Amino acid sequence: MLEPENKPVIMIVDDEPQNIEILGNILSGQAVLKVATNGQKAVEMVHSESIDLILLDIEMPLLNGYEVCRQIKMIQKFAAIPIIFVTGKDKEGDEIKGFDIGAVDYITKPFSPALVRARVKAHLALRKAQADLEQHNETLKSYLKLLEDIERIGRHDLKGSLSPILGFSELLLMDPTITREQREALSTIRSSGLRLLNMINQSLDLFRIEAGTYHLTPQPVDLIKVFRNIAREQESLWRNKNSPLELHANHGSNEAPEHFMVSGEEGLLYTMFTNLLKNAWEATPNESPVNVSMHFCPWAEIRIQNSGVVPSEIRSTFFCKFVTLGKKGGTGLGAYSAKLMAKALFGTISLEIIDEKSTVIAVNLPSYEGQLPGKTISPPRQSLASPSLFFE
Amino acid sequence: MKILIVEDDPGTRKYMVKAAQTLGHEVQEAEDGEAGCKAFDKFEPDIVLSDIQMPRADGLELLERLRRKSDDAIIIMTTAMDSAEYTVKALQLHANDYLVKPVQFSVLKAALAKYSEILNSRTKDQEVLGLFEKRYYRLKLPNQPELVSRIADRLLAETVNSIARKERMGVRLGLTELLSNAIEHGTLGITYEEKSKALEAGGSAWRNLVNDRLHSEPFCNRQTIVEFEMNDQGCEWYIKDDGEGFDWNNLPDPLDPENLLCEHGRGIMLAQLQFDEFEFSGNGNEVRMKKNCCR
Repeated sequence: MLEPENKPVIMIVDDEPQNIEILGNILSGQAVLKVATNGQKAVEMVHSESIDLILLDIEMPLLNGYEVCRQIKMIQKFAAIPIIFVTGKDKEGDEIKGFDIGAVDYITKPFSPALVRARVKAHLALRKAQADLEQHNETLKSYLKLLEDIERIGRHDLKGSLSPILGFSELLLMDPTITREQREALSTIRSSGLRLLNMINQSLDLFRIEAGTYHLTPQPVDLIKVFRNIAREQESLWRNKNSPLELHANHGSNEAPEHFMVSGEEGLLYTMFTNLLKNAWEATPNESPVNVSMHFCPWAEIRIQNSGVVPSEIRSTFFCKFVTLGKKGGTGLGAYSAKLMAKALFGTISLEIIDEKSTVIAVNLPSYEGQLPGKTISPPRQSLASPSLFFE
Repeated sequence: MKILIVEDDPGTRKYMVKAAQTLGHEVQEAEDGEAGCKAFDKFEPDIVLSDIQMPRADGLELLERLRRKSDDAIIIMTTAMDSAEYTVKALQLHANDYLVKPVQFSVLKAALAKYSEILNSRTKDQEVLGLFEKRYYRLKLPNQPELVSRIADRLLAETVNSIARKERMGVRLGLTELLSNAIEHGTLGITYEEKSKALEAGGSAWRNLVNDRLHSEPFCNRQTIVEFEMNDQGCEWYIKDDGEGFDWNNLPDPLDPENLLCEHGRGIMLAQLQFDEFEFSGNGNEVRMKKNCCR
């Protein structure tokens, strides 16, 4: 981008030789100067010279300054070159029009040498900073790609090694002649293997959600069923401290809640609510239940409340990666992955502390209306498009 | 059945071989595509189960070579699904199906049972039937899932000169899938979850589920209609069942790698790849497929 002597290259575009001479004198010390005396030449020179900044007169015959600016901005590889308009008039309308089509600044005649030098310097510095950032971003992207490749290979090999573990244990379990002890050992091997497989698959899903490439296939899912299954699966967690799960669903009628339908993927919903409920059960004091209340507004809102309080120092970062406090063996990934999953489900998640007495995690999800598919209400927020963590 | 297993990981290979033997099949193994190709010539298997990613002639290369030798062998790819693009490519190269690794015994059992059934109901002697030029018929199907592969065989019988040899197995599998779909999910109203649960439970659970539906309202009063027409343009099939249908607007695109792990609609997704025209209508209880004439 810079000439050998490391001076920036500035192109002055003006049809009046006098202006060129004045601007040339002002800038000669700080830059290498190129001159174009009409719009057509200016556009040609952008292609042939490597220009760092353009001073562009608005009023020129044939191709005027606005048109030159528009043509340059249309070419992707030159669009980032800062263009400063030069005009004799001091009309606000002209300025706004210039900014609209992509100019970064304005200088008006008669020129103040100090001001011209200061503005040019500021915009050159800005452009350089921008270019540096772009390069950093490219480097980061390539690192991320590398990381993805490593992870993918890792998962491939892990899954490959699981095949015989899962397969042979399943085959051997079918043999009626094995002893009870052998059966128990095989069952343990098999369920550990399945857990491992589940972990690998989940990490793959999370990874895709993080990268914004997860592809959701929404189905109607009954959350009452999901919550009951989680409570059964995590019984050891709440049974000892006697903090059962209490479910309340409000359909606007007095009927007992048998179903609460949302639109999503059962696996994702199951994992997300397992993470959130585990946190709630761990946080709530002995003998106090974890309450889950659900209602439509018109999308589905699910509020998980426990009587523990999230410490104030981690409230603002509660859903960030690796945030954990005072929990033995806590990875700090539970709430973070729950948030990612809520996002993948086209939902939202938030934390509320009520009177410093209890904690509520509120999850908003698309509801599922009626008996036939294809009638989901538009989700509260569609935000899956942002591509990844680093480049938002 | 004669089954060839091609897999580079020794542990996985041992398991797959043992599993297929346990199911009563005659099995040979190969450790890479190169060896797989040689074994294919000698062993002449009915079904090939091949890993996609392997050293020395990977699964895709093997698939291409095998398809040059045989249009009739059922070729099923096994894949860890970390790069789904390969699997899409395999389907485009006329692999018949794919199984996601690690392949659970129950999944392998169901797949081999399905393909054995299809291969067993195949009529070999078709020279005379191939002379038909025009044909139309309409069938009223009983609600019996076990008849499906024989019905598909009948539907294909006269198409010998109309559908290219290399496409016939795919069309056969596609028809089988769509007929099963019409009877099981349509007329008998069995959901995907109910079916997998029954198959997982094993024993007579599936048989019992089908029997229950056959004898209860409203399922026992429903039927499936099939129409078939062949002329010099090609073959066209129309299947309509009396079931409640499904939302066919959201059918997953079979060529988008992201869809390959979807459990729902997987069969239909594979089936639609086999036809030149494919269209659901009504509530999703009607489907029309067309295969252009190869002559």
